[in-house]
Amino acid sequence: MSPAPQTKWRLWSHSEIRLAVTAGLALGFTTATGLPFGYYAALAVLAAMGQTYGSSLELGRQRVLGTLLGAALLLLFCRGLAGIPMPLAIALALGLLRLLGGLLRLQVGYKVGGMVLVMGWLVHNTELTSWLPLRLGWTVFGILISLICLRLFWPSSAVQAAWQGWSELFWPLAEALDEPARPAAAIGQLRRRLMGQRAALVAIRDELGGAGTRHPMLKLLAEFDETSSRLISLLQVRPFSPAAAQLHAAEAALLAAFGERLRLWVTLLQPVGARGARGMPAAPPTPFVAPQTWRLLDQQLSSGQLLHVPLDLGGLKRDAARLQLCRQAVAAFERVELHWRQDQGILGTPA
Amino acid sequence: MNPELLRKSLKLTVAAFITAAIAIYFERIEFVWYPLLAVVIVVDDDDEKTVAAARGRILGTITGGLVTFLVHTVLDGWIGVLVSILLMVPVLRMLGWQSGLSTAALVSILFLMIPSHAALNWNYVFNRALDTTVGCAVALVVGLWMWPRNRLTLLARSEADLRGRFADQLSAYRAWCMGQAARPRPLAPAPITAALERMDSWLQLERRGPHRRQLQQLRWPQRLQLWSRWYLCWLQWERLLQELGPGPVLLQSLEALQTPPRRERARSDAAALILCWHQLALQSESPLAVLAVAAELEPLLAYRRSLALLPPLP
Repeated sequence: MSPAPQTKWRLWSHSEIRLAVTAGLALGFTTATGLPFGYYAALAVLAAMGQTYGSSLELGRQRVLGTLLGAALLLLFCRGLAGIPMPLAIALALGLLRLLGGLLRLQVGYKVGGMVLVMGWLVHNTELTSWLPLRLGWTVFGILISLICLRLFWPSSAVQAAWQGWSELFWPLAEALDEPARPAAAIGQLRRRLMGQRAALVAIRDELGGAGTRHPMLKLLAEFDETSSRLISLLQVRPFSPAAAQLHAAEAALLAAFGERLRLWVTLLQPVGARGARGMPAAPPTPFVAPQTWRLLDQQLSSGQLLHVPLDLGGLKRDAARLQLCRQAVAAFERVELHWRQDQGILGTPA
Repeated sequence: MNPELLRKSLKLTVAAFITAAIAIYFERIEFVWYPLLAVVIVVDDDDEKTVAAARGRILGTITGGLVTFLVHTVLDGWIGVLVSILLMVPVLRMLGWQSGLSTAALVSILFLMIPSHAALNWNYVFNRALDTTVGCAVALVVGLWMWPRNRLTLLARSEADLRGRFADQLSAYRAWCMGQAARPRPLAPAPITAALERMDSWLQLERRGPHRRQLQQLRWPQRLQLWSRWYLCWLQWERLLQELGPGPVLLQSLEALQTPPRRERARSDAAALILCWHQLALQSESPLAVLAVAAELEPLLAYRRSLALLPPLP
């Protein structure tokens, strides 16, 4: 079983063909309408068509807000600063635009505003009343057509990308759990993948209509995050003391069981990570059960038997932290799968 | 007003002013918007991204210009743009210039869709590439030379932010121990991990930069390593703490983590504190949970001592 299909080298990827065809068709349509400045629709397609529907929503929002901000400053300064030399006037307007864009938290939108300002000031200053509404209209049209194409042609959603992304994190994590003595670089790579998944949450929230954290998908993703974080941390904490052979064996069995379970999760996530799939991934058919050796040890620990063994407190203390963290990881696994099964009933399995 | 935002705004103002002045001086006013657009796009929040954006802009303009020039001999209008974009994609990927795709496509639209640019020839392509290069060059000079981003300041600010986060969380736990507030939620790992990653990337960049010596003097490599280890222990400690209730030993430990350690007695104080935890474990109904918290507290106290020994930041 492989974690993810290997990507073959292609002359064009689906997303590139989609981008080129959408921009081309947008241009074709705007040309056919006979209205001027239709190329701004294609420029909006190029700028707003992100990798997923969710990321495009945010890019589109920023582009519209940036265009409005640029237009407002253009109207204000193009005539207001007419008395001072153009290089100084346009530079001041651009500086103010950057400042306002920053205050309004427009991460890329201020650049669009800058383009509106520059083009309106230097090229279209005699026709601002017609150019500005047309530019805004074509921009909105370009964004809408991008979003429609992202839904229609090789649909690409942030939610699907997230399922795929998590399965690409779980697979190497399972391998690391099989062989916990991993170099720091490999663990760093796992942590960066986890951070990548966290960064993708913004687009997912946008795609789910600004849903709060109570949305079942977001809840499941948050629990994936917590479980992965715990497992990555387990790879980094100090191992059991060499004398504790029983603990070593039980822990190795537990980590192997975690790895096995993560591989099962990958097989459940991959169908919903595929293009065109919908809904929540199917929950694991049976609940997670820790291996027998671990459960026996856990029972001993819970009944306090281990403390009657003549161990020095310092040595026991060293192992106690790891034991507790392993117990918490078991609880996290059980929790995530329980909620997964409960939420599956709400949103249904993949179509 | 956020000084970083002010710096970015001033940087864009100066770069735009110089670019427009150069265009007027060399009588290239007809296409002054071309280098100005390059400035708007290239001047970025992060100086390291400015270089990448300039590279993408210049290479995208050249590729877009060349491909569109070839296509326009056969096709025109929107079909020409569509074919140009389709051809650019593999060319840019083969050359490793994917970041230039949007610029290349923009060039194609400008050349093939705007009637005034219909007189497309080698001279036109060369001049627009030159205009872009001027805008990018000014953006780079202003960004990296006139107002270089002081990563040492950013590192210091990020460290202060980290200290503040942990200090606030320790205060919240103390309030909980004293019965003045509810148990605080554990610190969210995402912002701290991201901050540490960001600080590490700044450190790597500065190691190759002009502040190398200062970086060593302030012990930034050791400082960051200590913070990473501190955080890893903190994450585990906070998770383990969820199993315990409030108590005087915990309150004492929180105070030890929050107050700067007394240099001459730091080790013995820490050892005495750990002994208190051992005593507590022997009396507790869940000794493992208590010992686990003590186990992670020990390195936390050690990292706290090491951090206190580092030279103070200016």
